[in-house]
Amino acid sequence: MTAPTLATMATPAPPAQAVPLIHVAIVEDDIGFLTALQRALLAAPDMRHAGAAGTRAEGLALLQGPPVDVLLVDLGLPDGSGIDVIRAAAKVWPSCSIMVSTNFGDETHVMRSIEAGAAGYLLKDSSATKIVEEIRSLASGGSPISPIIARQVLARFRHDAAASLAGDAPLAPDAPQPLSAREKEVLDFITKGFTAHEIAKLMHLSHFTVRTFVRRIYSKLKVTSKAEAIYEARSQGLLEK
Amino acid sequence: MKPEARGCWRSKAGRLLGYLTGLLGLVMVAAVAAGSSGTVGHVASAHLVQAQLVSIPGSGFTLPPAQVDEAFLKAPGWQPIALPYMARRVIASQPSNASRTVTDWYRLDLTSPTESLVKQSPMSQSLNEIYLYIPRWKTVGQLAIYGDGQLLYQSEGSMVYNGYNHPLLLQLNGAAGEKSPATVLLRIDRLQNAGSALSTVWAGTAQQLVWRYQLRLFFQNQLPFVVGAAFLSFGFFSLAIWFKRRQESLYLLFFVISVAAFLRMQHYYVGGNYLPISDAWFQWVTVASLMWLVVLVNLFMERLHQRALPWLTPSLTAITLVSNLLTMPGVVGLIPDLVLITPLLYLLMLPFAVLISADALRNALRTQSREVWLMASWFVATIMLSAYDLALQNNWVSPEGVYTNPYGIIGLFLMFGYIMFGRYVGAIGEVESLNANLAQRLQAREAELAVTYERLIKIEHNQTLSDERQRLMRDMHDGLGSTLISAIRSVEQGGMSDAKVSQILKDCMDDLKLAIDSMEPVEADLLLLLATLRFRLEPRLEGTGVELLWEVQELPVLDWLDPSSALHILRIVQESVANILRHTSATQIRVATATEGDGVQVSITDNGRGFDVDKALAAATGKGLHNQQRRAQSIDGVVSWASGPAGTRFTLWLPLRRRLRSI
Repeated sequence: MTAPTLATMATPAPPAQAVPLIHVAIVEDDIGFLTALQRALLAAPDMRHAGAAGTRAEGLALLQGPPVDVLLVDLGLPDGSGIDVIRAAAKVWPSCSIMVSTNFGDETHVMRSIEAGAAGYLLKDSSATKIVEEIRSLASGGSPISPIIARQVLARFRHDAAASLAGDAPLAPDAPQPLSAREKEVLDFITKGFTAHEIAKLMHLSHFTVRTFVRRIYSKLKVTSKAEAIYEARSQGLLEK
Repeated sequence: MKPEARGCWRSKAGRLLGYLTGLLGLVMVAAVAAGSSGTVGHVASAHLVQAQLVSIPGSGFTLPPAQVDEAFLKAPGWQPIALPYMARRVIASQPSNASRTVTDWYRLDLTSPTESLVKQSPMSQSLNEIYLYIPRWKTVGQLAIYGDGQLLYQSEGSMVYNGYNHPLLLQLNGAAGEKSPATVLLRIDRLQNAGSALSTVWAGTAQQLVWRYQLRLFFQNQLPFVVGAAFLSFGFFSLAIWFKRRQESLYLLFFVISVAAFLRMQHYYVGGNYLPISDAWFQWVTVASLMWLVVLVNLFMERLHQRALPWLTPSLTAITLVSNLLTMPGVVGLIPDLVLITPLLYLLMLPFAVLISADALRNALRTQSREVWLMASWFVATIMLSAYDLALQNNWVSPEGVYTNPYGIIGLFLMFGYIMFGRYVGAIGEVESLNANLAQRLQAREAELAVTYERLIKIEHNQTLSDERQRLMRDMHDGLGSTLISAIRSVEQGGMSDAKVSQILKDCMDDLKLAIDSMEPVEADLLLLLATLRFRLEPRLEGTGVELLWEVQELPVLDWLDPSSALHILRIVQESVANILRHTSATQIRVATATEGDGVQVSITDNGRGFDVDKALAAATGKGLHNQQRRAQSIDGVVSWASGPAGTRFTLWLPLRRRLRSI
C-alpha cells in the first residue's frame, strides 16, 4: 500500500456534470511536452484545452482573451522569460491559478515564479495521470511544495520579520503578512520530509487543508507593491498609459 | 631627518644668534659710552677727575665720625691724586697682615661746578638739587660720605659685597633750602691687603646723572640677575625633559650648569643689603660655582665632540674638589682669607681653561661641527673676558670698566639654548619623519596585504570551482554517463523494449535531479537532505505497492555538509532504496534517524528477503555496495548491513565533526 504523498494527493475526479470544466491554457515552446499535456487533457473528462502560446509575446497576447482556470507557463521561452507572462497573468486574470512547468523543480526557478504570482509548479517528466492530478489540485485551491522550497519560504519570512523588527516601524501596508503559527508548523513538517497526508494526521486536519495552507503561504510571498504592479502592467501594455 | 632641513633651521637659528650677539655688542658699546662720556645736553655736569687723598693706617674697622672738623681738612698730608685711583691688592697675603686696615680720605672740590650749575638756572628747583654719582668704589671695607664736614651717607651690610659692583647715586642737598656742599669727603675704611679703587666721580643734576647711574646699574646688576634667572628656569625645563628621558644626560648636565651659572651670577648683583649667609659662605659659593662651571662646561663640550682627553676631567674635578674643601669656611681660617685668595684660585684655573679651549679648538677643527666650533670660540672669548675681570678685580685696570663674566654666562646661555634647541627641534623632526616613514611603510604593507588577500580569494575561488567541476565530472562519469552509454548500446543492439528504454532514461533523470538537489542550500540539515530525497523518490515508489514509513527525528547540525558530501549521502541512500526495490520484494521500507555517539545515524530497514552480506561484498555483483562504502569513507562515514530472513537493516553513520581535510 502506498502512502499518499503530496504528488498523489489530489481531489478525485468528480462526475462531469456536477462541477464546471477546468479550462487550461499553456505557454510552452517544447512541442513534446505540449503534446503530452494536450493528450493528458483530452483524457481527462473534466478539463478543456483552452489555448496555447509558443513565445512570451504570444503568451502576453493570450492574456487579452477570456480568462482560464489554470495557466501553465514555461520559464525558458525563445523571446524572453515566462516570469513576465506569470506576472502579467496574475494581474489581469486574478482568479486564474498559474503553474510553472519546470524540468527539475529547483529552488531558484520555483521561488521566482511564486513571487511573480504562480500558485504551483509541474515537473515536466511527470506522468499523464500525475499531470492531470496536479492541475486538478491546483484548480481547487491547493498548491504543491517540496522540502527545499519550504525551507526557502521559511527563511524568507524569517528575514522579513527580522527586517521589520530592526526597522522598528509598523509593517508597511504592502509588506507581506507574516506566517501564522500553523502555517509555520506545516512548513516545518515538510522540511522534515513528511507528506501532506502525514502532516494532516499529525495536525488533525484534512490533507486538502494542508494544500490550501501552502497556497495561502505562496500568496503571502507575492510582490504586493502597488506601484511596482502598475509599472509592470504598463510596461506590458496591459494598462492605458 | 633630512640634512637639508637640518641645515635650514640651523642657519635660521644661527642668524638669530647673530642678531642677538650684535644687539648685545651695541648695548655694551652704549654701556662703555655711559661710563666715559663727559657731556650730555647743553649744560655740562661736573666730572671730577682729581682729588686729594690722605691714608691713615689702623688695626680694625672703625665707625665713621658724625662730623669732620675744618682742622682735619687743613692738616698736612693731603696728596693730590688723579681719578680713577687704584691701590693694588696683595694677592698672597701673610696671615699677620690679614687684619691690618687703612682709612683712606678722598677730598673732592665741588665749588666751581655747582655754582655754575645753579647760576645757569636759578628759578628751577630741580636744578638746585645736586647729586653725586660714583660709578664704582671697590674694596673690602666701608664707605662714608661727608658734605661740608657733615656725614651724608654710609655703606651698610657686608664689608665685601656692599660696594664693589654697585654704582652709587647720592643726593647731596636733600633738606629744604639746603645748599649744595662745596667739599665732599669720602672715607673708605678698608683691609690693607684687599687694595682699593675709586672711579672718577660725577656731580650734577638728576637729569644729568640718573640715566648714567641706571644704565650702569642695568648692565652691572640687573641684566645678570634677569639672565641668571632665565637660565635657571630653562635649566628646570631641561631637568623635566631629563626626568622623562634619562638616557639623554645632556639635559641633566644643562640643568646642573644652569644652577652653577645662577649661583655664580649672585656674585654680580647681590650686595648692599645684608646677606642671609655669612660673607665667607657666600664667597665660597660664588667661587665654587665658577670652578664647577668650568668643569661642567668642559663635560658638556666633551659630550659634543666625543673625544675627551682621558685625564683632563678627572684632574680638573679633583682640583676643584680639593679647592672647595680647603676654602670651605671654618677649614682654613678667618673670613677675609678666602676673599683675599680668590684671585689665586682663579689663576689656578687659568691653565686648565687654556688647555680646555685648545683641546676644544683642536676638536672643532677635527669635527668641523658647528656646535663644537661655537663652544670652542666661546671658551677662548671667555678666557679673555676672565683675564680682564681678573685685572679689574685686582685693580690693574681702571675701575670704570664693567665686569664681563656675566656676559660670558649670557653667551653660554644663548649658546646652550641654541644647542639644546637644535637637539630638541632635531628630535621632533626625526620623530616626524619617522612617523611619516612609518605611515608610508604601513600603507605599502597594507597595499601588499590587499593584493595578497585578493590573490588568496582568487585562489580559493578557483579551488572551489575546480573542486565543483571535479565532483560533477566524477558524478556524471560514474552515474549518468555510464547509464546512458549502456542504454545507447542496448538500443543499438536492439531487443530492448520501449518501456525498458524509458525506465533507463527515467533513472538518468533521477540521477540528474539528485545532482541538482545536492547543490541546493540545505544549510547543514541532514533531515532536509533526506526529505528532498524522499520527495524525489516518491514517484518511483508509486505503484510498486511498497509502503514508506518515515520515522525521522530531529538531528544536530552537520557543519561539514557541503554539496559534495550531500551528493555522496544522496547517492548512498538512493542506492540502498534502489537495491530494496530491485532485489528484496519488500512491502515496507522504514527510514529512521537517530543521534548515535558523536555522530548521526540513518537506518533503512526493509521486510523483504535478506542476503548474505559477506558474499555480496565479495562478489563482483556487489559493485553497488562497494560504491556505498567508498562514498561513505570519503565523508568519514560508515555503512553497514544486517540481513536476515525477516529483512535487511542498512545503516549509514556520519560524524558530527569531520577531521580537517587536506587540500
